[in-house]
Amino acid sequence: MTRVYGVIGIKAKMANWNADFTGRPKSTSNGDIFGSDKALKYPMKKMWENEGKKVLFIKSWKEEKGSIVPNQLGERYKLLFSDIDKKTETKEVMNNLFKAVDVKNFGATFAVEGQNISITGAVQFGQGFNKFDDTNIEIQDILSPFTDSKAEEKGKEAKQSTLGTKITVDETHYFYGFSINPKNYDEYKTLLGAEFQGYTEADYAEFKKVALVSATAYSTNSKFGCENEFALFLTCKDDKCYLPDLSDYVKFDSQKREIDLGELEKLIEGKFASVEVYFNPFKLSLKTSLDKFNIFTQEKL
Amino acid sequence: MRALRFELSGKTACFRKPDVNAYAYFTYNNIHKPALLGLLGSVIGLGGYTQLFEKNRTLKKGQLGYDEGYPEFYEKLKELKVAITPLAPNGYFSKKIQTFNNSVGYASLEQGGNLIVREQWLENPSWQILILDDESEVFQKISEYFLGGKSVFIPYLGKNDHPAKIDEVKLVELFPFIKEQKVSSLFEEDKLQIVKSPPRGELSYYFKEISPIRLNEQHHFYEYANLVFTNHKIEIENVEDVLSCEGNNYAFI
Repeated sequence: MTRVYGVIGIKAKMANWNADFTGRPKSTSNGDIFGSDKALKYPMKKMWENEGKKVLFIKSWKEEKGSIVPNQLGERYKLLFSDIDKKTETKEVMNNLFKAVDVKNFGATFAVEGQNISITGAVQFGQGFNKFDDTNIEIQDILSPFTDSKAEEKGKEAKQSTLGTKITVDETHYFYGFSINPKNYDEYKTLLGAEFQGYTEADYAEFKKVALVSATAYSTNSKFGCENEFALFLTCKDDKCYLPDLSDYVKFDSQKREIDLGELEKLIEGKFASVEVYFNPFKLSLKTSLDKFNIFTQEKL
Repeated sequence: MRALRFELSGKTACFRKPDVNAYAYFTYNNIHKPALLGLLGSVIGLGGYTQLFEKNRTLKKGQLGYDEGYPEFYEKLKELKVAITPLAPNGYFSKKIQTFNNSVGYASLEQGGNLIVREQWLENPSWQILILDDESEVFQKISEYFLGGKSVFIPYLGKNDHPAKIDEVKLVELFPFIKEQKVSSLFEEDKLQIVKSPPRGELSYYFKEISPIRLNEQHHFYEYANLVFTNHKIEIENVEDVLSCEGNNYAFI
């Protein structure tokens, strides 16, 4: 498996891809909207989980004293693999961790008593910045079907149900740069022996699949309207090729909803073995001389 | 004398200060020397703290085979001299605290299993970096990798969700220090003394930050120095580590 760089584009229409603590989309101090790497990884992990694959770092529940509470890390590990305590061999734990598809891709910080394992993932994301110029934040009042329980505590009787807010954006186009560096696992190959293959083509195929569809597939109240609209995968010619965050070089025309890869093509000239560009041809136009694919059908255009 | 010069930048960055970990994590304004050496080490594929930890995992301190030394990158690169110039007005980058939820329930023993992480980020940080050619093998390797656009691990700015952009890589010629001139990079406060009166025709600025400058030999903690970035001229000169390039003075720390 050779090194891969790429970009994942997510569109949000009347949706909220990644909210901060005030409920508005996350932003920097000058108002640029972005989504965190965590926001992108979550639908990917959800999709893997729904396919029945082993996903370690995701919320799961247990019953405790009549209430439902989240599992602890050790308990989640036990649920997927086997018992763990201070005496469990680190090698065994590491081998198991790599069997979880999310750990294999994104790495792990595994702090359970007696085990202190930190794995830098092969797949690393940057922040996904919105490249749409004209984003408006929409705040809607929504009616709750219930009266305010707090009014009762104060000894008053509430006569009306309460109001809430739902915050969305009219339109954003997030672009995440990512890199896949199989070299991150080289040291584990020596530690874990022949059994461990490192980051393989099969792992990459698994990642590529969720990279193309997981945001579209994931629909909650706030994520309905979030879609995968763009993806670029660049396989390097040289194993040690350094490229910066590619999302920086993707130009987006907000009037025409057009992506221009001219600058990116100049940057990567002579450095790649292959490049595939996936996009939504119904809503976007794309200026590039690279190989184009339909993001839904994955057919060549 | 020569130096390898490049521009290091990113959309966001976070170089965590280890001395505060309650309520929020803060960042240094500038990349500091140990972090920069770590970045250089990642490019040429040297081991870091994790590799040292793995090596010592099953051993006790003092036992045969226990490595009491530095992580590989620091051991090999600590002699390098670098000059760091923040490329922002007055050397100051904007910062904002970003908040995350970690709700998997493993992260902490918080009630309800939800850990809230607040982290201060630098926005659009950018530095010019000079690495002095000390004619060592390791410098050779670093210049070869930088000039050839190669890296073993993918460099980032403090945490792995802030990828680093490296461009404008070039080998430059260095000359002796130019008198009666300001220093264009960060320098150690106690090594150079500056003129009190502000520079003519300019608003004066004086940016000072306590920054990690090296790792403690025993425990690998940071050791600190006051680093200054100013447009005042130098008064008292102890300039063995100040060199010039294209008409600007740079202090190598």
